[in-house]
Amino acid sequence: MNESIALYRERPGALHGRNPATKLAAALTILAAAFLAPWIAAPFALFAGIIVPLAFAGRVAGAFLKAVFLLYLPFAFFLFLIHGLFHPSTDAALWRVWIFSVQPEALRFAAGVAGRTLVMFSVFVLLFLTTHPGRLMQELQNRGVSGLAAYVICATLQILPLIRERARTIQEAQTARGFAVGGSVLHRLRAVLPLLGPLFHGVILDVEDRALALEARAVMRKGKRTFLTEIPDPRWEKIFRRGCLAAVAAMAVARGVAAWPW
Amino acid sequence: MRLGGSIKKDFTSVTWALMPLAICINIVAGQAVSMLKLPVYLDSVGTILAGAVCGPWAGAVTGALSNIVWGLFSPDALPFFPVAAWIGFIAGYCAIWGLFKTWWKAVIAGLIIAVTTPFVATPIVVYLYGGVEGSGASLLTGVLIKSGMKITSAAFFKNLMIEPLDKVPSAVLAFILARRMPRRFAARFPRAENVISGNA
Amino acid sequence: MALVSLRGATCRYPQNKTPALSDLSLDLEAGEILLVLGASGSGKSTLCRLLCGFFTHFYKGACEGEASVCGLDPRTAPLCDVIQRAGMVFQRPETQITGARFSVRGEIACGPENLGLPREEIARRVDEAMGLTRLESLADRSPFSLSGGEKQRLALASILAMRPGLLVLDEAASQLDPAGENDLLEVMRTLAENGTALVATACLPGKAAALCHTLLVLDQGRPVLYGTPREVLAADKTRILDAAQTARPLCAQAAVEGSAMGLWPKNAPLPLNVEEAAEGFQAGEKHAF
Repeated sequence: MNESIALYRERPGALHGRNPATKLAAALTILAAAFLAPWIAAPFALFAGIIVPLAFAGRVAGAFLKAVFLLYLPFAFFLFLIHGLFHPSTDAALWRVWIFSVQPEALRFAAGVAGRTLVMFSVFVLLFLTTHPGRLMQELQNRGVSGLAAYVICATLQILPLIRERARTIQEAQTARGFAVGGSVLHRLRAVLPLLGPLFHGVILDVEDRALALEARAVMRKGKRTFLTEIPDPRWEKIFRRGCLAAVAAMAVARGVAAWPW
Repeated sequence: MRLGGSIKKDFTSVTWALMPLAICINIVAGQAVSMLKLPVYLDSVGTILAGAVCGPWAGAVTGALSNIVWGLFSPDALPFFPVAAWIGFIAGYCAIWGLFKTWWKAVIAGLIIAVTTPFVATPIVVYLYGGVEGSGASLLTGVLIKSGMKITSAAFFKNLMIEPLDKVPSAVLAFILARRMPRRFAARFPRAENVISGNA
Repeated sequence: MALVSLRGATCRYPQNKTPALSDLSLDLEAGEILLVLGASGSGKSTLCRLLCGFFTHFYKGACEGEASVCGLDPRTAPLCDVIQRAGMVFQRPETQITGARFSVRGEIACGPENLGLPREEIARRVDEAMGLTRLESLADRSPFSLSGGEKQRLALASILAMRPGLLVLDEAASQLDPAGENDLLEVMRTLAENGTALVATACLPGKAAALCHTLLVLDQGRPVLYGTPREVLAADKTRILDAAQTARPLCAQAAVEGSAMGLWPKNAPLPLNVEEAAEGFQAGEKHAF
C-alpha cells in the first residue's frame, strides 16, 4: 500500500488497526458531544483531553497538529477578527478602538463556534490521518454505501497525481512557447483556458475506455459484493460502537431535557 | 416513476467514468487559478460540466463526491457538500433549459448558479462557522455586520456578491470546454444533446 | 458448434449508414488464436466490441446475422453474463485500470469481488491471474506506479480474473516496448495452451503472426482474406494485402521478395519467424550456387 494518500500516513500506531467504522463512530460521538455540550469550554476540553492524546496514541501527533493548525489558525483569526471587532457599537461594549468595538455577546458566540470547529476539524483530520481511504470506503460499502460512490472516491485519489502531472506538462509546454502568466485580471483568466482545454480534451479521450473497464469488471452489476481482504471487526469494537450510539442518544436527551421550558 | 427512470438513465458507466475525471479537473483548475492570483476559484468547472452532459442528478453526485474527496485532504470542506451538489444539480437543469448552447446563455447559467447557491451555503456557513471562512472575503461579511446586519443576512449577501465573480467564468469555461469536445466522444454522454446544437 | 462463431455478421453504429463490419463469418475453437489485420477504420475494433457484447450494449449499434460466444449471443445476453465469457484488453494501459482499489492485488480482485464470489474463489482467481502475468512481485504496489508494460499485464490479469473463455486483445501491444510485447505474447501462448480462445488485432502483424492459427484481413469492414497465416500471407495475395493497407511480417515479406529474385526456394513454406527465414534463405543459397 502507498505511504501517503490524501491525509493518510502509514504508522504502527494504536488507531490504524481499528475498524474504520469504529473510528468513524468515535469521531461522530466526540463531534456530537462538542455540539450538544452546554458549556463553552467543553469542546476545548474534548480537544485537549481526548483528541490530542488519541493523536499521540496513534503516533501521528506531529502531522496531526500541523494539519489542524494549518486549517484552523486562518479560520480562527478571521472568526475573532470579525466577531471581535466588526459588531456595531452598543452600550455593552468591553472596549472601543477607533470605529471598532468589542462586544462580550459576540465574543461568546465566536468562542462557541471556535470550539466546535476545532473539534470538527481535528476529529476528521485524525480519522483521515489514521484510516486508509480504501479501507474506509470498503467498510462503508460493507455498510450499504454505494460501491460506485466508493469507486469514484478511490479512483479520484489515484488519478489525481496523473492529471496533475499532465497539467504540469501542459503548463511547461506553454511557458516554453512564451505564454506569459500575468497582466490584467481578464488576461490572466484567459490564461486558464490553454491549460484546461488540452487537459479536458485528454480526459474526454479517456472516458470511453474507462467506462468499458467499469463494464468489463462488473462494477455496474447490482447485487451482493464480497471482498478479498477482510477488515477485522473484533467483538469489543462492536460493543464500543453500540456504546457510542447510546452516548449520543443520552447526550441528546439530556440536552433536550435541559432546554425544555419546565 | 418517470422521474426514477430518467435518473437511472443518466447514471451510465460513462457517467461514472467521467466523475473521477471531473473531480480531478475541479481540483487542478482550483489550484491553477490560485497560482494565477485571481479573485476566483473555478473549482466547480468539472462539476458544472458533469451536470451539463450527464444530467442534474449526476451533477449533484459529482459535486457531493468532489467535496468529500477534497475533504479527505482538508476536512473543513466536508460540510459544504450540499452546496457542491446543488451547483451540479442546477447546472444540469440550466443545460436542460438550453443555457449551455451559446456563450451569453452560459453567462445566464452562471448567474442562476450564483444567485441560488447562497441559499444552500448560508445556513451551513452560519451554523457551523459563524458566518466566517478562513479567507479575506470574510472581511466583506464583517463590513456588512458592522453596518448593522445580522450574521445570517451578512453571510448571505456576501455570498451573493462574491459568487457571480466565480460562477459566471466557471459556467462560460464549462461551455467552451463542452463545445470543443469532439462530437464522436460527446455523443457517449447521456445528455449530450444539452451541449450540442442539433445541426452543428 | 465452435466456441466462437459468427455467420454473416453485419454491424452498424447508430446514425451511420455504411456498416462498420459487413458479412463476416468466422469460427474459433478453444485454444485457437485468431489474428485480425487491417488499417485503422477497417472494422477490427468493431469486431472486438461485437464479441465482448459492447457493440450493442455500450455503443448501441445494430448487428444482423448470427453470433455466438461461449454459448451466448453477445448482442442480446445481459452484458454482465457476456463479460464473464469474453474479456477485452485494449490499447492504452492506464485507462483500463479502474483505480477502485489501491494495490495491484486489489485491482485484480475488483472484478471477482463485484461478482459476489466467495472469498476463497476470489483469492484463487487473483493468484492464478498474477501467476500467468508474472505480477506476484508487484502485488502490493500501487497500480498507477507501474511501468506501461506492467500496467498492460495488470489490465490483462484483471480480465483473466473474470475467467473468460475468449480473450480479445484490441491493439493491446501497440503501445508496448519490445520487451512488453514479448511478455504479452508469452502470456497469449500459455493461455491458448490452457484452452482459452484468443482474438488479437493489429495494424502490423509483427511477432503475433508466428503465434496465431488463423489470420483474418479486414478492408473497410469487409473480410478479404481468412485462413492460415501461410495462406493469407502468400505471394499471390500481395494485391489484396496492399489494397487492405496491410504489410506482411518482415521475414515473410523478405521471403516473398527473395523468391522473385530466386533467393528463396520455390514451394518452400512462407517463414513466419526469423529462424524459419534464416533456414529458408540458407537452403535458397545452396540451391542457387
